Amino acid sequence: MKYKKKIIFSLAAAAAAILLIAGYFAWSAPKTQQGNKSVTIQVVISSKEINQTFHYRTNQAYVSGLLKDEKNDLKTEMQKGQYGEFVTGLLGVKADSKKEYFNIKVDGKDATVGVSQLPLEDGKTYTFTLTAL
Amino acid sequence: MSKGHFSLREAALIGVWAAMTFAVKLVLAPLANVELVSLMLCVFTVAMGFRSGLTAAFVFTMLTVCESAYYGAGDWIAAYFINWPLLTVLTWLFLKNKNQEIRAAAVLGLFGFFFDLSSAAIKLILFGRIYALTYLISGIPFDAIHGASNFITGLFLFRPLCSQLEKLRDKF
Repeated sequence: MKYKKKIIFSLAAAAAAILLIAGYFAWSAPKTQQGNKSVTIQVVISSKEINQTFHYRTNQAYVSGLLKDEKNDLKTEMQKGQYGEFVTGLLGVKADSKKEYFNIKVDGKDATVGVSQLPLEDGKTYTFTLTAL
Repeated sequence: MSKGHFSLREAALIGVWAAMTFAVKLVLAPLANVELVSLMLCVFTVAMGFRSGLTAAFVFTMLTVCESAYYGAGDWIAAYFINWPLLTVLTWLFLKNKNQEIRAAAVLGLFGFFFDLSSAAIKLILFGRIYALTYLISGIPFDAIHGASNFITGLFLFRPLCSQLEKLRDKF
């Protein structure tokens, strides 16, 4: 087989792989809701007797965007990790990473992804609870 | 090649080839799912025959079992014992000589793309349907890379490697 033909076949194989990978990520990415949304953020820190609720209207697609927008209000502290950003502090209380973390619930159900991949949906309540490891 | 037991020379050659394959595996380990193990076992089977190829596949797999003492064992060991010998069987069935490079690329590409099927089957038995399906779906990007890279390496390297190995074989 001629070298040129091999190059064409190789490019076709690489293109097929790239298309498959792109399709996979497009299919598996969390579906976001466009436009203005009304959401509730609840912060529960039992050790400090904190249980506060905040209502926001936002155009952000993901929870991390809202947490950044409302940084002054929520006193959000976040860190970038291997799987995106994660919350390390809220309302001035920083989680001791060796002992505790901020558990996230969406309408009472555990979130399966971190804040950078968690879509904001109209009417939902996002609860951050400082939880022992 | 003799029909009975391996000669000392054949046994040594199988060992050396398996060791070289293992070395290439280690060198390419930083590149996720880009490997030359498939190609090397395939070439060895074409040039040296099915019996030698199958034995080399088992010797190589045993080397990876030893490696697991360092990196940790897992159900992938069982999958290796299925996949690498299976590749030599596929080679024996579909590839007869060094001139079938496009067919070799297709066999290697498909083998790479479906490499995780055996792992998924093992996970199906051990952990159930959902775990196996999740494993398969989450592995699609890696399988795509594995398939494409196997296809490309097969397309470019199958023939020259076969030629070189056959020359060396004929010198013996």
